[in-house]
Amino acid sequence: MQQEKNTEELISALVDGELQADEFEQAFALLDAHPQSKSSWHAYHVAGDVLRNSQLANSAARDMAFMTSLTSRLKSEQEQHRLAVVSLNISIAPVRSANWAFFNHRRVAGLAAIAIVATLAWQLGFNPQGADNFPQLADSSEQAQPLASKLIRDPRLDEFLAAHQQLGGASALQLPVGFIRNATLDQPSR
Amino acid sequence: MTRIISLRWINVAQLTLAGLLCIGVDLATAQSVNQSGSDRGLSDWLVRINRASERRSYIGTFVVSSADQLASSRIWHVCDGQVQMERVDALSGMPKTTIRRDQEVLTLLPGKLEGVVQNREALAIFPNILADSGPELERYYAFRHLRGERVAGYLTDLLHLNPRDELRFGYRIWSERESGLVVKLQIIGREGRVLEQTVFSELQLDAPVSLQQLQRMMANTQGYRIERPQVHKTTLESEGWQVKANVPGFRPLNCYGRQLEVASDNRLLTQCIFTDGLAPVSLFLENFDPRRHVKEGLYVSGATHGLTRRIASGGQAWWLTLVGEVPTQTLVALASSLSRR
Amino acid sequence: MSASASHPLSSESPDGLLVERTLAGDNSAFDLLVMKYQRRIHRLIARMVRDTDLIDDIAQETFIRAYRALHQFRGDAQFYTWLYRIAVNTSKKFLHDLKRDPLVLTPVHESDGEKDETFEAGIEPSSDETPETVIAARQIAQAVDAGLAALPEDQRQALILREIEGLSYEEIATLMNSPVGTVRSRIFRAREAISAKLKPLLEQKTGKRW
Repeated sequence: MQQEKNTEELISALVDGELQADEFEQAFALLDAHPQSKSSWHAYHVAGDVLRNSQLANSAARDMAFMTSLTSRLKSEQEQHRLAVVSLNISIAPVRSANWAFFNHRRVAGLAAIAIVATLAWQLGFNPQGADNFPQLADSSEQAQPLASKLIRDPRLDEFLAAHQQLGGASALQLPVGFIRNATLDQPSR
Repeated sequence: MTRIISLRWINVAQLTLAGLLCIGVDLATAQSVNQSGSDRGLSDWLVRINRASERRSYIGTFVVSSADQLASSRIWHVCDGQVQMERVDALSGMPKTTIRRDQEVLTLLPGKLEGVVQNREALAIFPNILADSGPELERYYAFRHLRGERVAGYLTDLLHLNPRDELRFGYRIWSERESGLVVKLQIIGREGRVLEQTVFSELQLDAPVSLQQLQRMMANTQGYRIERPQVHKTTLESEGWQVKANVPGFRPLNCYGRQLEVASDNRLLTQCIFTDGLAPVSLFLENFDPRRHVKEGLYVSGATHGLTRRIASGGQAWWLTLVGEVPTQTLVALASSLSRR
Repeated sequence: MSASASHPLSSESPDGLLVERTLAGDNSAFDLLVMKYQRRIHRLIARMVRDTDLIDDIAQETFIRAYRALHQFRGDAQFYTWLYRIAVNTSKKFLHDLKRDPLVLTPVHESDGEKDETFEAGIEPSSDETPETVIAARQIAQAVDAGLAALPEDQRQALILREIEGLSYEEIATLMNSPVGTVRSRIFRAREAISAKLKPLLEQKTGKRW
């Protein structure tokens, strides 16, 4: 019984996308072998849904009935699909753009160790006179975690950033230098 | 005579607007001008660097840089004892001219003949609380004063503000020796890495800048389509939120209801400003929209970090966005401290 | 049949992994996706469509279409967003097709003396409720509430941080000052306790299970 409990814990971790690499096969094997585990998967999701939105309880009451009729329809689809599948080369790689370094925060191990990577849109041809005024800025490649981050352009976030720079200048440095810093950085995204 | 208000409790309604930025705070500041660098405490320095921009005019070339990004502008600054004005012309990116008169800010995009007028309340608050805020800031930052190197040809004092915890970044401030003007600023991340630097690559102190000319520029917006976005004051409480526990050092300052294009259905969203006195964070709340609000995540751009997250409670859902010059974990902590009442 | 060894999306959420596995031939993986999203999809459709029978039909069609188009799903968007769009498009198509059907132009529910739940003002889009399902829904909601309230504090907190705040195990571990393994175990036990109350309510009348 103890062992069963522990293995059902795998289902719970799978729900959260928090399985370790070597646990996946175990989890799926469990789901295949025990209908009980599938009903746990279902119940865990019902609990989560209802916690977030109690009105989803209405739908939950009819879940199994729905599943039964869907399954029979799916079976014929699946048969057709199985015949068609040979080896599908599916590309699930993230699309590379520029600008913001984005991390899905469930992946980041250790909140403190965020890499400093690339930034806002526009590049400049400006050559500053006083070259000695420019230090070695944090080298992005040193800290970049290529598996965890991707570079994206996000006009929504740019607008929030602009709003932050405009109204959020609550700092003792705002008047001396903050305002002109923000005015220099703040660029319309369109 | 302006009131000195501690960082602990700020009521903006009690501040008078007229001439706030140019009126001296009190005796403490007169003292600070005459003291030598080593005698001054943090409060004195903060007052000094703020007052410097009140008393001197200058023209300079200003550069902001972080990993992979460089932005620069030309700055004109003048204060006549009553009114303070600044003009910032973009030297990089899209042509843009920003003109500030005290709290009022006009942003013009000559390429598009569009402009925006805004009232930036945050600019009014801080000068008045600086004399008191030193001790408060020193709880979270360790202050050191050092001799600085020449910047743009001027001798400087170097101020270090090193964070005492992992919730904020460090600051290095180069203050021009004679006037106190900030000529260079670095935001320091972990292990002393420079996340962002702002600096005058070229500076002309006491340059002749005509206040009247800037006033005229600000008034003459003929041919431009000018927007005056409506912003109203609000509070987290009145919107049904509470902050369960403060993230050490950070306090909610003001909240605004405003419209941004990216807000769901163009409805109002709420922007709340948090700060520890040096590092500002904006917290945005809007109604959740599954078509727009797709991916929760963490973002980094230079020293600026962002976080987006869905919040659900009692059958309703919101989208939370946090943006600030603070480490990610501070944003996470702020997000977690928010709950429905 | 086992999925490929590398899981580029797997630790973001299990969705990408379940899609991969389905495409690789493991059809029960798709069942898991249905079980995860059926309630939200159902509710979404119910907001657009009032007719009782239609909601189920559209929901079924949505999942069938998703299954057929699965190979087109690109991992750079969220699965639910993709599914959501399919649901909306399917609903629109159904409604559009119905409008052209002359049989539908005669209102179906205007029978004499028969109370029509569908048009009761102010009722949430659960117009497909029979008295049995209303009771069942209430019991389910109560079971979750009661189950949550009965939990030991650390389990309750961990579950809330996960399910409502959406924090990762790592983040919860930081906030609760516990190891990740402990967080994982607490969340599991919290779910187990609530599921114990839920499972009997979720079973079909025939007692049939998965």
